[in-house]
Amino acid sequence: MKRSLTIVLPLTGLLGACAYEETALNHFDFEGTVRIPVEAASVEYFDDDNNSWVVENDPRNLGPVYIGVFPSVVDNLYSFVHPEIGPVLGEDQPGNAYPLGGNTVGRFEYGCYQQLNCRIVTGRYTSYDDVLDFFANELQEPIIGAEGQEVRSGTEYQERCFELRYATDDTEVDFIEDGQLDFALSSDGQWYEAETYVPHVEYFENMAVWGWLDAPSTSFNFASCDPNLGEQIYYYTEQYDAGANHTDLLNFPGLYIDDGDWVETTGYNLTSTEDTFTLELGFNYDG
Amino acid sequence: MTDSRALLLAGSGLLALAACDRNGRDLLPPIAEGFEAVEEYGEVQVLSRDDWDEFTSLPADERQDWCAEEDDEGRRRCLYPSLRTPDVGKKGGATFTFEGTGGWVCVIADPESVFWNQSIAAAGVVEQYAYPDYYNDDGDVDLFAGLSSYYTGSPGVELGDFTGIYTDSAGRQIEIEYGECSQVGAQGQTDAHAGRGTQEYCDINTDEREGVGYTVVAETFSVPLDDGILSYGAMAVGARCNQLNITECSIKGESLTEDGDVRDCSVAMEEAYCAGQQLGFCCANPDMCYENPPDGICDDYEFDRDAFCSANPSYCCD
Repeated sequence: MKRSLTIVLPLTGLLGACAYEETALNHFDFEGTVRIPVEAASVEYFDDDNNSWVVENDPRNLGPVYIGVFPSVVDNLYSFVHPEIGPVLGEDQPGNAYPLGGNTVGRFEYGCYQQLNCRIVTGRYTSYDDVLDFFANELQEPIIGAEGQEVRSGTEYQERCFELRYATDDTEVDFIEDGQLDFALSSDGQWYEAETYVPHVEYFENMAVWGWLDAPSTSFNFASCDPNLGEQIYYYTEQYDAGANHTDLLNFPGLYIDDGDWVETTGYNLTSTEDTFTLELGFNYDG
Repeated sequence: MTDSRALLLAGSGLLALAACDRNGRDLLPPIAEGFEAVEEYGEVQVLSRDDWDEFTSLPADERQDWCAEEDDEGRRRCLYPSLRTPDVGKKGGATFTFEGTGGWVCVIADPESVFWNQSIAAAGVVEQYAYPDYYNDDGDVDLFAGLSSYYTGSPGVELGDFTGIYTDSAGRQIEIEYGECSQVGAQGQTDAHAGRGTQEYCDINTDEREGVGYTVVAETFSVPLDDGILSYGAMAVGARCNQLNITECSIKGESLTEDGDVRDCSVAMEEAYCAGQQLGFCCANPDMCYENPPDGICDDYEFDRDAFCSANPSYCCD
């Protein structure tokens, strides 16, 4: 009996030592909604001859939305509300905003053709034909394959992606959404709305959630993407970078917000760990 | 247990203890008496391009004296410091200061003496690097610089850095690097430092900071094992570093003896290295290179000392 006690007691002690719970951390996931004015989905484009046209009310126009959590936001740094920044250390760079966390609604993804580098955002297309249609009929810039011929068939496009990505199913091709797209029109028809969250953020009372939509340029390019970053594509004679977002977007947002982008107007202050945020990217920056 | 068995066991035990006599002290440099681990050398002049050209064209044995010349304000032109191994658990190194010129200043430090990796390819050995370097005579300093107002050390007493603390509105304390000496590595990595025996340099932009004090820190990274004295050359030049064509031979004669004299044959080694003639130099002066080179390496390359020294007299020491 005495012997069994000496075994049980240390075991009990060991169990007590495993009482660590991750919930003891001051880090939380915060859920929320991003709302973009419906006007943001209408964009005017220009061709090389300076002819212009407008792609009306099409959410495929929407670039990625970047969401960050910051100690606070201020309105005296830029002509739009911007997170507070730390010391300015160089003449060419603003102070770091030192984000506490963040997420995106949509991100750049390699679109299987070099022409699409930095131009395909996840959560915007329902099918390969949807991509082909947008580029050929809305942007007036058909997708040209590696052999120099226009890609007209979604099946051909799918085959190309499967071959390059070693994929066997559309679920492995991130920019084709088999379910719901990121943004849906609100019931009053005034906003495009997306449910989102920012994971694992250290909580400080009144810290601010803030973000912006990277709207396309007049030639459907995005300031937040660097074509020289990302995966390197080596496929027969094709050799290039796939493009990826800049790595310091939330550290230096002011460097990347440019003409046409839609910016959160006030920032949402989180007042509890159960708080849910709503961002309304209502300010259209015009440079 | 019988007496003989006990004796046998004890004897074996003692033998095993004797086999463990290695303590690794040969991997630690000796403590050189009469030298400091942390030194402050005061303010130096920011050399002009003409000064730089003059310095780099001087014979190696005249450069220390040239550097020691002071201007009206008592500022030396440049430095040839010697330091000892730092105390256990403490950082060692030297600091000096310069005044911002309003333009670019290139800060340079070149530790003794020369280092190269031996070429050991099974086929296609690079002849220049075939003979291994004697690395026990090499030291290494890491270069840092920034505004003196951000420097956290106590010059001459304790080495510091250029980090500060920024407190954001949420109360988070964030460490910020205020150092301005940014070096980029061979693979493009930032905050890089060169290895043993190799010069380090970086650009400091003093725009709108004319007359403002800057501190340069040459932190001891490794001290030569052969004598425990880390010597190097250091200076500040009013130019962009890429305009100066800085090489191993820009600062020569930085390998110093205990008496502060240039170590015999070390300049010849630097010059041979810069000319890509390490193999010939080492075959002609084997005492200056690794003590156990590959067998017959000089014969493999049909080395003829007389012919080599006749063609390159400055690379051959007595």
